[in-house]
Amino acid sequence: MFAALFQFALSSFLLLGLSSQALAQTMREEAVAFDKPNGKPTNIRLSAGSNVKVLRRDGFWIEVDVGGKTGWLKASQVSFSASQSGAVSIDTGRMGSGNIVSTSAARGLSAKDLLSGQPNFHDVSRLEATAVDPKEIQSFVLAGGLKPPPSSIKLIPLAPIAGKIPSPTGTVPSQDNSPPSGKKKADDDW
Amino acid sequence: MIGKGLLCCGILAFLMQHSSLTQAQSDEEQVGRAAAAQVLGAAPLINSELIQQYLNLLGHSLSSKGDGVYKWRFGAIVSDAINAFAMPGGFILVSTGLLKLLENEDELAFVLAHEIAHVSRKHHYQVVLRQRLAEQASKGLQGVVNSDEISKLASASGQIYARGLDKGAEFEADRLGVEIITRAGYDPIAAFNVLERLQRFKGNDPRAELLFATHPSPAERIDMLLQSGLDKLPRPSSETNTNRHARFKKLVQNLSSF
Repeated sequence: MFAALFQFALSSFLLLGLSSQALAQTMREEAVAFDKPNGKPTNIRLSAGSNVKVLRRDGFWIEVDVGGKTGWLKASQVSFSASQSGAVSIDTGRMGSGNIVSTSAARGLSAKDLLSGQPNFHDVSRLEATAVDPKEIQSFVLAGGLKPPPSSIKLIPLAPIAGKIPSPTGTVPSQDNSPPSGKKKADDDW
Repeated sequence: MIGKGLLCCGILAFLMQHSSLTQAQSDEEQVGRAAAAQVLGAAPLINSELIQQYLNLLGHSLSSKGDGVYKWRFGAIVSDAINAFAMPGGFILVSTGLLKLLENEDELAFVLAHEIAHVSRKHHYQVVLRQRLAEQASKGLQGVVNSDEISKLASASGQIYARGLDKGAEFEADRLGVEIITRAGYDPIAAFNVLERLQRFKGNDPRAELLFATHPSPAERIDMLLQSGLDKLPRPSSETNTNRHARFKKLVQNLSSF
C-alpha cells in the first residue's frame, strides 16, 4: 500500500516536473537561452557562474526563469551539483576514511547489516541456478524492438576534479582504458 | 627441430598464460561468491522466478555490449533500501526498493549496466586485492576451502559495500553504463531520469542512506555525465514498444507483493 502511494506520489511529481521546486542552479558557461527546446535564441543572455531558477526539464533541455523571463538551456550548460538550493544539493553523508556509520535502513542493507550479517550461501546457490538460454536472450532483444545505433558509442572519460571539467565535444573516441585519476585516494582509505 | 621446439614453447607459454587467466577468474569468482553471500545475508534473494528471469534476460543482453567475460548472475534482493551491488566475478544484486523506483526498462537497464561496468572494470575486486584479502581468496582456490576462511572473506567483503568505492569508480561505472545501454538500443536519457529521481531523496532518508554514503551525490553524477557528452548520444525513437512496456509492467506488478 505504502509502495503504491509512494509510486503515485513519485509519478505525480514527475508529471509536474520541477515547477513546484523552482530550483536555483549555477550556469557552467556563458549562454543564450532559447525560446523552446531546439528553438530560436532569445535576448536572455547568461554569464558563467550566474544563478538561474530551473522550472522543468524536457529531455536534455531545461526551462529556466531569469528575473521573470523564461527560456530554455541545454542541461549541460548548467551545473546541477553547484546548486544554490537545498533541495538539490543533497547532503550525501559521505563517510570519512575508516569510519563506518551504523544506520537503520528499512528492512536490511544498512552498513551495519552488511557488516554483521551472516553469509547466505544458500541464496547464492539459488542465484547461480537461474539459467538463461542464449536464444531466449535473442528473443528478448527482438521482442523489445531494440535497435543498436549505427555509430560507435563513446563518452569522454573525465577525472572527478571539482570546478575543472573540460567542455564537451561530443562522442569522440578516447583512451578509454586509463583508470580514473581520482581513484587512488579513496581506495587507499580502506 | 627448432621449429618444433619453438612451437612447444609457444604452446607451453599459452597454456601457462591460459591457466593463470583461469585461476585469476576463479579467484575473482570466489571472492564475488563470498561477497554475494554477505549481501544476501543482509537481504534475501527474491522468491520470484518471473522477476529473476526478467533481470537475467535483460542483464545478459546488456553484458554483451560491455567488456569482460563472466558468468553473469542477476538477482533481486528484498529490501526497501534503494541500492544495487556488483560483486566480482559477475554477481549483480538490485534491491526491490530500487526496482520499485524505476519507471521503465531503459532505467532498469541503466542500473544493471552501471553494475556490469563495476564488475568489468574490477572495481571491487581491486579493492579486495589491495587490502590483502587476496591471500585469503587464494587459500580458497588451493582447495583449502575452509568455511572459517570463507566466512572471514565474506565479512571483509561486507566492508567494501558498507564503505563504497571512490568517486572515480562510480563516475566511470556511470559513463560505461550509459555507453552499454545506448549500444543496446536503450535511451541514454534514462541515466538522467534515474539520477534525478535519486536526487529527490534526503541524505538522512533511511532507504537511501547507504546509497548516499557510498556514492557521489546524484547531482554530481549528472554533471559528470553531461560533461562527458551524455546529451550528444543518439536517442532511439520515442515510440513506446508495447512488448517492452508490457514486460516491465509485469515486473512492477510482481514487485508489489514484496
